[in-house]
Amino acid sequence: MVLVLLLIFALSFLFLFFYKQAPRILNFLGGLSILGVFIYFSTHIQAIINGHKIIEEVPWIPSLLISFRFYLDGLSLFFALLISFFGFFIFLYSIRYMRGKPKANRFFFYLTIFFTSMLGLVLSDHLILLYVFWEVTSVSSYLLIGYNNKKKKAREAALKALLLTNLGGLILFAGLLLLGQQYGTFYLSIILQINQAVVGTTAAAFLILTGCFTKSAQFPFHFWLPSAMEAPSPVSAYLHSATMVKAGIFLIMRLNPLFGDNSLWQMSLLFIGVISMLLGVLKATTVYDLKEILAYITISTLGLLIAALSVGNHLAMQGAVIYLLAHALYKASLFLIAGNLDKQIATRDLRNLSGLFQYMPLTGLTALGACMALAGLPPFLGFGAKELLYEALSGDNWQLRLMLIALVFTNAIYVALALKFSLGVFFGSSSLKNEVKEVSLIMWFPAIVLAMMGGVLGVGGIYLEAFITTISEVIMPGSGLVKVDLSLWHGFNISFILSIITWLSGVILYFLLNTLQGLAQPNSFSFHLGYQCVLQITQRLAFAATRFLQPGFLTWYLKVIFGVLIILLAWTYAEGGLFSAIDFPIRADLFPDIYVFFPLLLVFSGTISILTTSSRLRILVCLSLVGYGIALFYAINNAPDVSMTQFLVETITLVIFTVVLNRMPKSATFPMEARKILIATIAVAFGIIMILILFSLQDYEAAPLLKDFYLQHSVPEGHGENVVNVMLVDFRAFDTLGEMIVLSMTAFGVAVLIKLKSKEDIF
Amino acid sequence: MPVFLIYSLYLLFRGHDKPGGGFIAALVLSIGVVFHMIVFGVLATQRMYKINTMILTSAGLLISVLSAILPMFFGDGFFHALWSDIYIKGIGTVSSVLLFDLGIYMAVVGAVLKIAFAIFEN
Repeated sequence: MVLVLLLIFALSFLFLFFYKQAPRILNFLGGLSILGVFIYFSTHIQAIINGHKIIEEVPWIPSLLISFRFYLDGLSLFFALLISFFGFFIFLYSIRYMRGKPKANRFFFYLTIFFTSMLGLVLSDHLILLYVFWEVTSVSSYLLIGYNNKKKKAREAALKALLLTNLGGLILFAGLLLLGQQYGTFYLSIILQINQAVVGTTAAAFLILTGCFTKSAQFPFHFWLPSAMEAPSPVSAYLHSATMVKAGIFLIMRLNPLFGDNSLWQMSLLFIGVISMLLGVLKATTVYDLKEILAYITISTLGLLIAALSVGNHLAMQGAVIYLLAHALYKASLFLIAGNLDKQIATRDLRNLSGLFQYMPLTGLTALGACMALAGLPPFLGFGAKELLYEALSGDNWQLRLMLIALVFTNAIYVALALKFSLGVFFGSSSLKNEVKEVSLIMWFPAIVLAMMGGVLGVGGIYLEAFITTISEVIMPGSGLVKVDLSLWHGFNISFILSIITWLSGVILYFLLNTLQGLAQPNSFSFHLGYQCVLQITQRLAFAATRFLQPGFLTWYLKVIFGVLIILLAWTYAEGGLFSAIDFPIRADLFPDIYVFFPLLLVFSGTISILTTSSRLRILVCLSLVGYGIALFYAINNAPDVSMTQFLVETITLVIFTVVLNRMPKSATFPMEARKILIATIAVAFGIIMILILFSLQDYEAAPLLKDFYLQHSVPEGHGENVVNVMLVDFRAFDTLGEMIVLSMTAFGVAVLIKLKSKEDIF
Repeated sequence: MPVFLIYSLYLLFRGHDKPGGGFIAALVLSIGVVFHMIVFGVLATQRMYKINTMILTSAGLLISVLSAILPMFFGDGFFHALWSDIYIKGIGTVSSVLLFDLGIYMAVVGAVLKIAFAIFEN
């Protein structure tokens, strides 16, 4: 598993760097590898059904017990298969969809990165690793939504998705940390084995649940998904219907053994699920953009799945798993159809589309199949899944009743929407003036395969039974293997009657919707508005705070920095009672030679001239004098390296400063008397504090130990006689690297600021 | 200028055993270039030496990071110093530490010159 992930990860960089040069080779290679991943996971099906579990581990940060540990059982295998299967067809589709686009290499890079991280997410056995992959999927989703980065709407939608899913991600992270703390281990497989309630996990459960709800676009975080439709169609099909939005559901299923019995957990799943289910489906009837309709249906279906997970019996779990599969199949193919229409006709507005069947028969056929699945008609998988759920809900308490009514209602609207999508778009009189051509093979093929898979699996459901049973055993262990019945015809029972009711009311609703069209207005209270409000307030606050803390005057910064330092240091000293501990030792060895007085003289005379002059140039030169004096002092005290550095830095600063001085405004006001006193106070106070520190450092014992360590280890371990340099490049190399990065960043920042300033006044 | 360059390289390579090293060497070279700029003007300097500070800095950082990651391929930890047996007269023993110092050298020269160019151009 580790190897597979690594290979795909490497492949993504091939796409980034070489896609422009060799698209054909990479198309071939990419398709083949993704298919290879699917085949690789398929070979494990039998072993998993037989009850095996596979764990692979590669250490990552051993000191923190974090490792790349992957865990393959029924649930993760199911998701891995789903991801790679859809990945393959979406990839095929994208090849043509993205052909000739200028940034296609980036697109495929993001897509493969997403593919890798999504696989990692479902396979990882370590909570931290899972979180890392979770965030990578959010980031790649952000990049893919904002793929059209010249379009303002796309950028805003991408940011919205990122902010919301990352907010959820952070909450999830807190939950995962809490969970790991409570169980004493971060390994999921071990936590699942312990499988008993530990005190204090309810908080963890709710944090995790919130994270899942944001990812799976549930109320009240659902509104990022419709905006995310700015993404290219294959992305909507893959990330925003088939895989990424299912991550939340995956995690809920994964943790069901731990929290499934918790009644609060069940209640929140039920309510949030039902609300999202109804909200999504109602909103879907008020919009006209094909992709937006599909997005709202996705929200609703995800709500349906989450609500189904609250039921807590095997039938419901199995129904949820099959429904998830069915939904992924028909929804992805519907998105691809929307992409085809967008590509050929350049519109996705339902009101402008009709009678397209004669022009695009294959796309039309696909739409028919996918819509039949959406409406839950036999022989499609959607039918079986719906029947299972109806059966699971035919219990005798108010929660089940509530859900059943909501479910029938939702499904009836699905039927109406399916009719709208298939009949409305592809039949009737054509309103188009120009000829429209069918899309090329590589674009209709994936869509039709995905749509027909729903039918094939629906008919051949018995072959899925063993696998689905294994999965539901993972989600709800303990009660033995309850076999699922996936044959197409269950007999004339209550579920079938409910199905018939659903269809009939769906058809009635379709005609009602047609007559009511135009009346249904998007409601005035919008979550999007609330989101924008919060965003703007945050920005204003940040701006005000920055203005207050960073007025842009260097003198102000220096005053604040030194002032805070003085306060903190004085505080520390006062608390530690260090004032009394210092006995002001005048040690003779501090002044070894008479030469020491020459640099000191330099420093003193420099300081005095600075205080008495008002010419900037003279201040500058005198400052350098002080610097050179200090450098000399180092040289006398056996620190040639430090001294050399000081000399060179002084020189270069002096040279550059002289140039800058020339350009400074002549009229810069010199401080007035009151300010002078303030500055003098700060300077004197800081000086006193520093002297105190130096005195107390003399008695500090660790310093000689450290010195000895470096002196002794420099030659044998660092292979160098220059201790200072060995320290810099060997013992403390990581610090040096950090400093280098800071220095480079500063250089770039300074250069950019200077250039900006010279072009135009930015403020 | 050649004097500055040679002296800075000398300082770079001897840095491990005697006073010198990447940072100091970089400053020496930068001072040389800055003096050139004062005398002949920025444009002349840029035309003559064709230094792309952006690339120089990034390459320096990259080399340093590489020198840190390199030992990981030999089963050692991040930043574990690697020493070879090759001794080159005047340069010293080839090692990952020397590579790191070279990275510092390049990054610092790049960073200082970037600022200097920006200021002088203005």
